[in-house]
Amino acid sequence: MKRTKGRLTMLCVSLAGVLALTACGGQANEGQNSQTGSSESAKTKTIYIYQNKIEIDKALKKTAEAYTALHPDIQFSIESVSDNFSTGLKTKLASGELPDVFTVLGNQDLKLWQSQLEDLTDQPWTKDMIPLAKEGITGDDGKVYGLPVSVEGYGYVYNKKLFQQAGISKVPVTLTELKQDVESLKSAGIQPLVGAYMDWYQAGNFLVNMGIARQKDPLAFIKGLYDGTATFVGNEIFKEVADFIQYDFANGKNGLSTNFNNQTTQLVNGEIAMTLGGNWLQPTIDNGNASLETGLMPLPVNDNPEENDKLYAGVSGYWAINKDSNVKKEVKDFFNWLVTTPEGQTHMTKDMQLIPGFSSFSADNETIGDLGADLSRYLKEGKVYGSYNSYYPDGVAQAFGEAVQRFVAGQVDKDGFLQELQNEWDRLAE
Amino acid sequence: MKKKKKYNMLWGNLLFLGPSTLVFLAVVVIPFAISIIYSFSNWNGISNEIKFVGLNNFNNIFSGKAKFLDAFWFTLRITAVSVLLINLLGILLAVALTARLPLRNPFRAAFYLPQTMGGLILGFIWQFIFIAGFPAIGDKLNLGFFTQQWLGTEKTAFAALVIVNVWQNAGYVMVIMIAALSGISSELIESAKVDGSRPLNTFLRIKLPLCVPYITVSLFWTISSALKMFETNVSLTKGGPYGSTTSMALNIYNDAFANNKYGLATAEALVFFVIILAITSVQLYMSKRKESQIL
Repeated sequence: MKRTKGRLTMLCVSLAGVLALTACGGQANEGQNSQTGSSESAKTKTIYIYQNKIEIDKALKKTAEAYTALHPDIQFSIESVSDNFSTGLKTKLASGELPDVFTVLGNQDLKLWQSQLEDLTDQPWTKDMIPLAKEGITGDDGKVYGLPVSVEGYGYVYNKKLFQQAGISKVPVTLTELKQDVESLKSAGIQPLVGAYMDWYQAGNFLVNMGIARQKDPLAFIKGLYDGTATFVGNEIFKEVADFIQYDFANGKNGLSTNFNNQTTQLVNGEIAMTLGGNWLQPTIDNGNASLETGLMPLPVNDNPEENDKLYAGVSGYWAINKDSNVKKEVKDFFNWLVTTPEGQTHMTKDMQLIPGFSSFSADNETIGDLGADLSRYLKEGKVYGSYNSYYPDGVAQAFGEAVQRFVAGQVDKDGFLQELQNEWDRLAE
Repeated sequence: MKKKKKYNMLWGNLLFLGPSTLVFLAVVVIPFAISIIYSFSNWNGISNEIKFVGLNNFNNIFSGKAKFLDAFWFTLRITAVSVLLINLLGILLAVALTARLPLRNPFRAAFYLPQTMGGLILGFIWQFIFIAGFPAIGDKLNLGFFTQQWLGTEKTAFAALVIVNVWQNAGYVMVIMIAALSGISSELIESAKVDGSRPLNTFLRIKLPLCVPYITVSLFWTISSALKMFETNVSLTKGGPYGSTTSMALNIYNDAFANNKYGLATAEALVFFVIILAITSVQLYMSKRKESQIL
C-alpha cells in the first residue's frame, strides 16, 4: 500500500509538472496581452496594437510614448508586421489573443472581421472622414468600424535627376509621351524602368487595379463580376492595361527575378528612372538616400491626357478595436486624441508622414516629402482613380498577380491573360 | 496477491503513459478529429457561421478546381529528383569522409552545417544568392549560366529549389551513412581484400548491402520531408513564378490563410496526410523486404 501511495505522489508531481509547463507558456505572453496584463495591476493599462505599416513603426512608438507621458496610466505594446500580417492576426484570434487594436483593410476584409469589431459610429471623428475613407469601413448595417490610417496612392515613382539628364522637362501624361521619354532615357544610357514581377503583390494589387479603376463605374463593374454580368474577357480597358503591363515589363530588366527589396534598392541608389510605387516609399527613400529627388507620376495607358493624368489612391487600412477588449474606452480616448487634438494630428502628419483620411486636417507638405506632396496635389485637384483591391474575393489579388506573371513570361497571350483573370475570379468568388 | 500486482501495474501504466496519452489526445487526436469535421464545411477560419457542404471540398480537389492537383504533381516531381540527389550525394560524401583524409572532421561538420539552419533562413539567403550573387559572378566571369533569371522561369526555379534542398539535406544522409559505414566490421573488409576484391567491388557488393537498413531510414526521412516541403518553398520562390513551384503544403497554407477557405484547406490537408501515409508506407514495406532478402 505504501508503494501505491508513493506512485500516486509521483503521478501528482508529474501532472503538476505538466501544468506548470503550460502555465509558463501562458505567462510568456502576458507582456503583450492587455487582457491578462490589466488584471495584474489595476492602475496601468496596456493597449496592444498590431498593425501592418512597418514603415511607421518607430514613429508610432514615439507617438505612443508621448501619449503615455500625458496619461501615465496607459502603456502601449506595438507590433508592426507587413508580410503575413493577416496570417499572424488569424493565429492570434485562434489562440484567443486578439489584439486590442488591429488593422483591417476595409470592404471584404471588414466583412470577414466585422463580428469581432467594436462599433465606432458614435465617435466624434467619424463625421470628419472623407467619403473615400468612410465607404470602405462602413458595414452593410451602416455602422463605422475603424479609423482610417492613411490615404495612399501610387503611380510611377521617378528620379528627377535622371529625367533631367535625359532632357525630359515634364512628366509624360500620354502613352506616346511615355514611350518617347523611355527612348530618350535609353539613349542617355539610363535604365528606364524596373518592375518587381517576382512578387505577386504589386502586379496583383496595383497593375490589375488599373483596369478596374478605369472602368466607367468600377463598383458596378465589380458587382457585375460577382453576379456574372460583367467579364474581363474582351474588355477594351483591360486590353489597354494589358498592353501597358507588357510594355512596362519589356522595358524593365529581369522583372521576374526582381523582388520588392531589389526594386527599392535600385530606386534608392539612383540606378533606374521609373518604377511602380507610391508615397509609402518616402520613409525608405529618406533613410536610404536623402538627397534623392523623386516624384510621383501617372501611368498612361493611351493617348487621352485627361484620362491618363491621374494617380491611383485609396485608404490603405483602418485601425479597428476588438469588441472584447478590456481597454476599449482607453483606445477610444487615444484615437480621439490622435485625430482631434492638434498634438495628435501633428504626430499623424509629421512623425508618421501620413496623408490623413479626414477633412478636418491635412497632410503637412514639408514633411510628407516629394511623393506625398505630389499625391496630395493630385488628390486636391481630384485627379485620382480609386483602389479597389479590398472589394475582391479573398485570395484574388495573389491569383491575379500570378496571372500577370504568366502573361509577361509569355505563357499566355493577351486574350488568355484576360480569360485567366476571369477564371481566377470565378474560382475564388464562390 | 496476483490481483494486487495488477492493480499496481495499472498505476504504473497510468504514471508513465497517462500524461503522454493525455497530451497526445489533446494535441494530435482531437485536432485531427476536428479537422475532419471542418473538411466538410465551408468555414472561412474566422466567422462564427459554419455551413456544412458535404463532399464539395473533396470534389473541388479531385476535379482540379482547387489547384491541389497541380501542387501535388509539382511535389511528386521535386520529391523524386531531390530524394535521388540527396541520397546519392549523401552516400558519396559519406564514402569520401570515411576515407583517411586530412581535415576529415571539419569537412563533416561543414557538410552537416546547413542542416542545422532553419529552412526559412536558408531560403532567404539563397534567394539573395540567386538574385544578386549569381548575376554578380556571371557578370565578372562572363558566364551566361549564372546570369540567367534563376527564380524567374519555371525550370530554373525548380532547379533552384532542388539545389537548396540537396545542399540542405545531403549532410544529414551523410551522417547516417557515415555511422553505417564505420559500423561495418573491418575483418569482413580485410577478408574481402585477401580474397582479391577491388575497392569498388567491395563497396558495391559488401558495404552497400550491409548499409541497407540505414538506407531505409535515409529514404524514409528524405521522402517524407520532401513531400512536406514548406519553409524553403515559402522563402525562396513563394511558389512563383506564376504558382509553378507551389508545394502541397504551401498550397494548403495559401488556401487557409490567403484565400480564407479554411474548410477546403483542411480537406486538402487530409488528402495530403493520406498521400504521405501511402507513399511512405509503400517505401518502408519495399525496403524492409529488400533488407530481409539481403541480410
